[in-house]
Amino acid sequence: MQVKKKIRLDALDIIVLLLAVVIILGTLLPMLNVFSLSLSNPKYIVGGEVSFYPKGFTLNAYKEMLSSSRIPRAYANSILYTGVGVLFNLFFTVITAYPLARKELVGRKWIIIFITITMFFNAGMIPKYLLVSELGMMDSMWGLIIPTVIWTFYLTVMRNFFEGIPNELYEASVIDGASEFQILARVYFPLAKPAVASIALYYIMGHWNSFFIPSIYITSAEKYPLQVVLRDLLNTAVSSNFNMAETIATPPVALKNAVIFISIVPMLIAYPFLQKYFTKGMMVGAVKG
Amino acid sequence: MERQAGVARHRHRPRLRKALSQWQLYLILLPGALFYLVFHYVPLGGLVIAFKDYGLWTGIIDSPWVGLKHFQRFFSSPDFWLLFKNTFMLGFSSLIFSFPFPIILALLLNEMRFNKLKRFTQTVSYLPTFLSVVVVCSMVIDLLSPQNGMLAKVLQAFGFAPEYYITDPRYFRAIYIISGIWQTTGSGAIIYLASLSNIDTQLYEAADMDGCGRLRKIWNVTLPGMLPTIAIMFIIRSGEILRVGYEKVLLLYNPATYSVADIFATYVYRQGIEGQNYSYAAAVGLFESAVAFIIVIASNQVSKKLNETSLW
Repeated sequence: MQVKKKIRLDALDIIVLLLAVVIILGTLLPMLNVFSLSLSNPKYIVGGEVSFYPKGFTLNAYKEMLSSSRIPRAYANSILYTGVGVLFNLFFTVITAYPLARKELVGRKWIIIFITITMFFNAGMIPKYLLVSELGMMDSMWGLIIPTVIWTFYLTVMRNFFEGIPNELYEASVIDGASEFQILARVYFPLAKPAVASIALYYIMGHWNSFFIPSIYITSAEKYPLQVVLRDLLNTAVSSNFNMAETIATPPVALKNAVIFISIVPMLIAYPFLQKYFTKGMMVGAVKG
Repeated sequence: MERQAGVARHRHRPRLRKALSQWQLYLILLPGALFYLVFHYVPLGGLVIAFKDYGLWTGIIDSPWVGLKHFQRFFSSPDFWLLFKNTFMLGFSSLIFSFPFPIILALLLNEMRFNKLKRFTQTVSYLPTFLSVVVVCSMVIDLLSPQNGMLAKVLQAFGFAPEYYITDPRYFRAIYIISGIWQTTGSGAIIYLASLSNIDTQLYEAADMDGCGRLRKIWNVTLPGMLPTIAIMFIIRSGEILRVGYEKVLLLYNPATYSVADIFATYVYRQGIEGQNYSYAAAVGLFESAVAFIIVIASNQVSKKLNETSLW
């Protein structure tokens, strides 16, 4: 007997459905608000009439954004820092994880302890700042990339992945006369692509979204990444809120939200493809963390 | 004698020989090891400036030792207790209030019987994780703006006075915590969903035989199945209690809310980076790291204990 089981809604289902609707709306509406504010006429923004759809549709905020070089340049900087940064991250994370995943490595245990200790003892903001300044990396892209080129957490994820690769592959490669470099590049790295994709996603998010480190390490305005410029727009908004008399002036709100929107567009586009790696990363992270 | 030495040598030699034969692995490891040495261990050494009067021109080595001067100044300043209280209050209250949400979301998704809607809800719930802290804070500020903020409008409909919530110390913690819940619940639920998929389906079948309703099954099967994960996550989160999101505090606070919002890390930032009192700021940072370290170790001990006994 093939009866398609019909779902009969009980009280719990109704509650679950209602809550789901609340979650979906609660998450999406604030984002829609950003989008609407960026496309609305300032007149309606100040009047508090813009909610979840643009009112008095205008592209002025986007035109203003493109009219000076400040934001396009910041966008280009962010792409540069993120692109170069993630390549360095991946290269150094992979090559460091590989030897540590070889169980026969003499002293392996001690090297892992040497690395793990750094997760517990944190020197904090000031000594790191002084070191970066001492090394002449202030106000340069390298100050954003080199001091955090390996995140211990992702190193561990990578190492665990390599450890899961059957040793027979390694032995077979040795018999074929491959060097360690060749084994890493030709055997292990290709096999580890899914794991690399996961940590790449997290490294990319880290670079693209970072604002604090660039805000203290980058001193010339023309080298600011997008998030720092956004922070500056935010600060003007906060101080104008703080100083109540000033808020009457045309709000930079539309411009700010236009910048936010273009800052999340790459993620929104890539999201459907990356979601798989995102959940995978979270799972590994949670299990090993 | 000779024989003994021979044995001893014999014991060490193969290890050394093996290590030498692994030179390629060490070579591959070298850049990473150097990275840890330079960017993790050297700054730890740099913490000596907390016991010196460091100036940019004298350098670390030539600056004079001052013992515990900076610590004494910090502990005797009125800032100390305020920062201590604020850091703990913010960390503790965001732990307590945020912790249940990912669990509830996981249960909710687990109970949802429409697969497409389930997947959609899950996908949507991850989205805020991808937003930067600057973007989230900007959204918070706009939404709460008394003139044009949507959320402010809603609050006013519920009887809140139209005011600058963001500059009011009474609301700071709530704003910080709720925006955190908004951003992290979706990604936080992933681990709990994973723990749910490990629950033996036979347990549900047995519960069905006993005539349990869905609520009973949640209570008697699902929740107990999640409990080990919940316990571990709670311990991990407690260990991170001092790792308050200072970036978010920096973006959301202002002099009007310092009385509740100023925490160790933001104080270090203002004293050290803005005020260039490097030694003093390093001392405050060292104190904070020491307290954080104790908490992490304590929580690790608890989780070890729990792991030993959690074979019930």
